[in-house]
Amino acid sequence: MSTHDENEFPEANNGSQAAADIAENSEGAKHQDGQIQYYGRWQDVLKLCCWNTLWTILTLGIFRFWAKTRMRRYIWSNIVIDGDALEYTGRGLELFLGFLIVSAIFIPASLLLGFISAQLPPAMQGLQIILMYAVILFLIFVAIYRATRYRMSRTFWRGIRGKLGGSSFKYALIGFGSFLAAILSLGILMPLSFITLTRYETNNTWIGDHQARFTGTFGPAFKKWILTWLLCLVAIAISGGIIAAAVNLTHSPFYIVPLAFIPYLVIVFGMAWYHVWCFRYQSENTTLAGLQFGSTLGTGQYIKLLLRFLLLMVLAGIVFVALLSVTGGFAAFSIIANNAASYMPPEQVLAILAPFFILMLLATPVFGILTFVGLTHPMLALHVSSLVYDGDIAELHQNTDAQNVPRTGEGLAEAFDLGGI
Amino acid sequence: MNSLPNARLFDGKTSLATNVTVGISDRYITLYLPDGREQELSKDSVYLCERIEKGKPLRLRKRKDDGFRLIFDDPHSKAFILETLPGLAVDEGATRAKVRLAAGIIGFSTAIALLIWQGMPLMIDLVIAVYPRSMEMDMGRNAREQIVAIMGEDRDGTSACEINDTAQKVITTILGRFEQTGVLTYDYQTTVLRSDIENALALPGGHIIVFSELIKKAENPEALAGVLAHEIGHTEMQHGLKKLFSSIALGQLVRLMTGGADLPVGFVMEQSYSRDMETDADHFALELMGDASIETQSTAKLFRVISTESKYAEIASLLPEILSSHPEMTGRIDLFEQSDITGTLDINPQDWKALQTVCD
Repeated sequence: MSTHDENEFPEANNGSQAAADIAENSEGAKHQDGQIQYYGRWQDVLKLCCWNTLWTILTLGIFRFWAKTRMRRYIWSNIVIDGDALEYTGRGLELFLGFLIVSAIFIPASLLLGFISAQLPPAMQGLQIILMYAVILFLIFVAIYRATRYRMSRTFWRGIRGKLGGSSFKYALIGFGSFLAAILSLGILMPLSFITLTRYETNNTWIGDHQARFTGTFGPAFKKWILTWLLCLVAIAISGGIIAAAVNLTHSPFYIVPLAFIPYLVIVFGMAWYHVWCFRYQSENTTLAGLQFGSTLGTGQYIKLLLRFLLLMVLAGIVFVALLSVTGGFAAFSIIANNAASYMPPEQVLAILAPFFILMLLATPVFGILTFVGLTHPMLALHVSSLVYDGDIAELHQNTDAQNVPRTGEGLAEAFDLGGI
Repeated sequence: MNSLPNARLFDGKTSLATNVTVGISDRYITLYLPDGREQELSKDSVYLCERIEKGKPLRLRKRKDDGFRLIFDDPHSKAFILETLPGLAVDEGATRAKVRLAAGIIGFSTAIALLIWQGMPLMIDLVIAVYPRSMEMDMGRNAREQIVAIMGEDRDGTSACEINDTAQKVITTILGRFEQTGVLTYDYQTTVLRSDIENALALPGGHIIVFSELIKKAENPEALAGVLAHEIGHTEMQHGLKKLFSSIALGQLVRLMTGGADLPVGFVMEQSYSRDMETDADHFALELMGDASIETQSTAKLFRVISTESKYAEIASLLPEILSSHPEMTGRIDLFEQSDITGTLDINPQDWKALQTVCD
């Protein structure tokens, strides 16, 4: 018997060009003991995204289950712990079957809701909408947990399967209850949701026969959150003050209104800081199979990534506007806004509107790809490669007979279009 | 048997690896364990864990995943495996699996198309059969109020097009003639709204909305009777309800199928469904006009005017029929023009004028 102590993944200095590329482009991967590494490259992800999008469009969306599987297989296989990568063994067909099962329930339920909604007098419409959103929110929590359970059950490391126990209904109750508490307390109790949901999920997470534990408590999270919350409050007040001043001043300078948006940047920074803290706190308070986790994630890295994505979107926006202008898109806007189509020769209307609609149809998948490659994937890379652990990786065991593995996956999450990876 | 590469074996019960030597024959992969034991598995029973990439280990697993993993770290072993097992692929990645997937997607799309084409109208008919009439009437009333609230106001916000007694007499006479046929099963109420769109709407439960420009374009009450007969056709055949339910069902189906994308597929399908309803309503109108002895030439003339003079006609003519909710106009005009129904309505020209100017 032997453990594998040599990192078989390439490093920049091992002489191979491919290896050098991987190391050079690995987003945030650092090679040191006790660190989880991520080797995914944005070039590979972009290529995979383009193919997946193309096939998804060609099959009117049906291929998306297989597309998701391909992307997960790539991402999992680039997350390396102690020299061995994770594996994703899910199948597109399982996701598709999960979707079919939920659709069989969801479509009649939607019809029934539509039917009931049509019967209600206008005075009851408000109540009906509130109830509907409450049910949807509850089901979204159920969907999130069930989707995580499926993903865990299809995750292996060194042949040992992950598992998420517990009940999705219980998770939804906790999530829904803590969300209500946050709403009723005007957001002050927001960390309750983070702590309770993380505790429930982590304490039900297993790798083989080893259970994870979360030891985090409400107090520290609340202390951090209340600072963010106060910062938001002050920022909103300053912004409101600037707007009020602009309204009251007869000759207010032109830059005063844009100035009112600056405090909102503070909110973004505050939220990023809190999110980073939560991730680190969650990592530092999680143990699994004798390992104590931690994270080196920094707010600066997080903000830098967001700014990079913002720049990418601005550039994409400029290209889009340039294309619009080249293809007569502004004329199309003008025709639609002024209802001018009726006064123009039909052929001209068609010649202007057709390229505009084609461009608009293409915009959604292109921006989807850019968001995944520019934000979702690097964000994941940043989080994963920030993870560290203390302790020796123990010999993991699993009782293969006792495994209860879901046969289909994520139908409900798909029905709510929850996105993600 | 070829030469023997080294690999790490994970048995699915423990995370500790066993170093093994691997032999590959025509049909089997043989694992030589350090304790002298041998383990055999069929070559067809293994998958790649992920696509092969340079610089990364090659990992194999069993088709029926029990945690068994065979990992080749060194380049020579990898090259050997790729050479001796050329058909290796990830799960759902082999050519046979791809062909199966393509066939499955085509089959599924066909099944969905059949469901929409055949199953959905059947299901909607079933729902409508048990749908209470009183609810349908309430729904129509609510919809009418909403439309009036949106469109029935002038720019200065005052309510428009109150039908006076004289104008109402025209509508009552037309509807009265239709009622005499004994075909109508709803109590019809007509609302006139100010609009430069030449159109009319049938809402569920017997509510009909006619836009003022259509009445202005009608040469005589018989032309309007044709339009009302068409709208009555929609109501009697419960097209409003059918459209509502089909729109909900199609919308959800397309949203689910495409993963939330707002593609115009549902819109196109709905338009096709609408066109059939329009044709059915035209045939119903012709029968009703025949039973009520009201000539249809004037209605044909009105349709012709709308199709040629309307400011929206040019744009409508651009739309291919698949995107249009109404059947091609020439066919509709022919239908009403070729009918040999004769007979007129006994309506005073002043009363007719009063209705035509009700929104002025």
